[in-house]
Amino acid sequence: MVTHAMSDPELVAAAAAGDQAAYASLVKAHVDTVYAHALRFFGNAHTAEDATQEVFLKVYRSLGSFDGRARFSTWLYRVTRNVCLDMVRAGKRTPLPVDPVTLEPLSQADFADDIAFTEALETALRALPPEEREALNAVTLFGLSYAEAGHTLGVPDGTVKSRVFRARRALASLLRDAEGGVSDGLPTRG
Amino acid sequence: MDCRRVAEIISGARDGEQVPAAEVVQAQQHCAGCAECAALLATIRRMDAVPSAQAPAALVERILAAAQAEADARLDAQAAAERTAPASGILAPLTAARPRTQRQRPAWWQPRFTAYATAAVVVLVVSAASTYTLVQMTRPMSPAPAEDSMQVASPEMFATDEAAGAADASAPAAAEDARALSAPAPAYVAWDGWVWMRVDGPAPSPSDLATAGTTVSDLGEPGGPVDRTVLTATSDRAAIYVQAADGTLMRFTRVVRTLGMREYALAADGSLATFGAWPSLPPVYATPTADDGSPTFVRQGFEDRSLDIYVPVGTDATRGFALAPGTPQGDPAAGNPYWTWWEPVD
Repeated sequence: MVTHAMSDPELVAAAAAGDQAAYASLVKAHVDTVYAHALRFFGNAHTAEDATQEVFLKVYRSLGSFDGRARFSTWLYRVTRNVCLDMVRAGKRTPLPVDPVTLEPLSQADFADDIAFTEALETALRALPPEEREALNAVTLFGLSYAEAGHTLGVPDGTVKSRVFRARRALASLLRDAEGGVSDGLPTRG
Repeated sequence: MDCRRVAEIISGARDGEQVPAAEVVQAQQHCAGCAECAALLATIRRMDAVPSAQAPAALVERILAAAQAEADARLDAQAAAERTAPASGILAPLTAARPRTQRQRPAWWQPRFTAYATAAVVVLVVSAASTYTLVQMTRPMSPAPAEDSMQVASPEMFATDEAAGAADASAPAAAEDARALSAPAPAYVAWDGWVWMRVDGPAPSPSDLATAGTTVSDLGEPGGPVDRTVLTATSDRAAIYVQAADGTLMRFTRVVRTLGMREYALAADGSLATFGAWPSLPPVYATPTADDGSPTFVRQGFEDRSLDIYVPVGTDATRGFALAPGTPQGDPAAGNPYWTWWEPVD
């Protein structure tokens, strides 16, 4: 019997033992995170859905091998990242970076609306350099620490930290521009 | 305090970084008079407040249906395999029978050996219920050509084994399949309980090398297997080096695969005295007599290449897992006709 009190490792263990309800709980708990990452990576909802399905099938096939030494979210991030990169390497999909100039200015009233803000944010996110977007996704979407993200991305913790704050500064600037505010240009990198 | 430092503090504090209280106060004061930093703070708060993109509800249903279909397909395939080819799981291990040499185990092996030996005793007791298994266990550990194995797997052998059923009907085809899977092994040596494969790499400087032990190998050279000194380099701890007759240092690294972000290396069952020889299960594990790993193992899940893994009954993959023969091309065990054992690399 699956209850909401079950932790991720408990759900994984139950799912690995054949409890389909536990697997469903895992999927429902994390599907938005994986989908959001894929959407930011590909910029296309259909491709993001394909990637998300592939991620959770890989997770399903590997449930028995998850030993709990790392957090489930860390493992899930690694699987998600690899699936997205594999889809690009296979030549089937292409990430779609968006040029900042394509951001359409939105009014102040529009930004009061969460949906409008989210749309502008998602568009601005795709304008970030891939390494900054990856670091930001790892930390903000998957909830990884700098150390966990650094381990997965193969860079020092400090690099993750600086990529995340550079991404946030860039986003703040892009969104101010999109909002119709005074444009100061992108913050200096480095 | 400049804008860059303020951005670092705001961003780091949001992500759980420890920031001195005095710096937080300074950053807050800075934001009160700096539009850019104030915008950054507002953006971070807003990003945390709004939900991320939400997956369509239908996607969850598709994922669950696909997983269920995969589970059903596996069950069907398992059932079909049990119905149509019960002999294949029995013959393959028999054709895999080969001599196993005793070796000097490193010190770390001793505590493991006690546990493995206990497990082996349990397995042997359980296996005693099967006449076939009893005969299998009493076979001498000596070279057994394929023809001999075929003879052992004769219908008479299975006459009292209800589980074996109609094993004789598909026996020749199964043996052929097992041979077809086999291919010469890469250039392997065994050392310190692991299988090491020859790989190219830069030669370390002589001053960097230290003697670590010995192994027995022919290194693919004429003259047969001889004792070889194993060297390690402080600059390359992932490799070992063995010197060929012409003085060349051959570099070897462990044969590995991953399971849940963990690296597992192929365990050696003996000395692997010649290049082209394959390792099989360490002697503490009885070779399974069926495709499902029984009676020694049970299927536990999948490794990262989605290959089935097997563990001793009552355990998990924490201390290692077995892999059945017949892995696909490109796999580190492709072409190996034997069951193999993989242990985590600490």
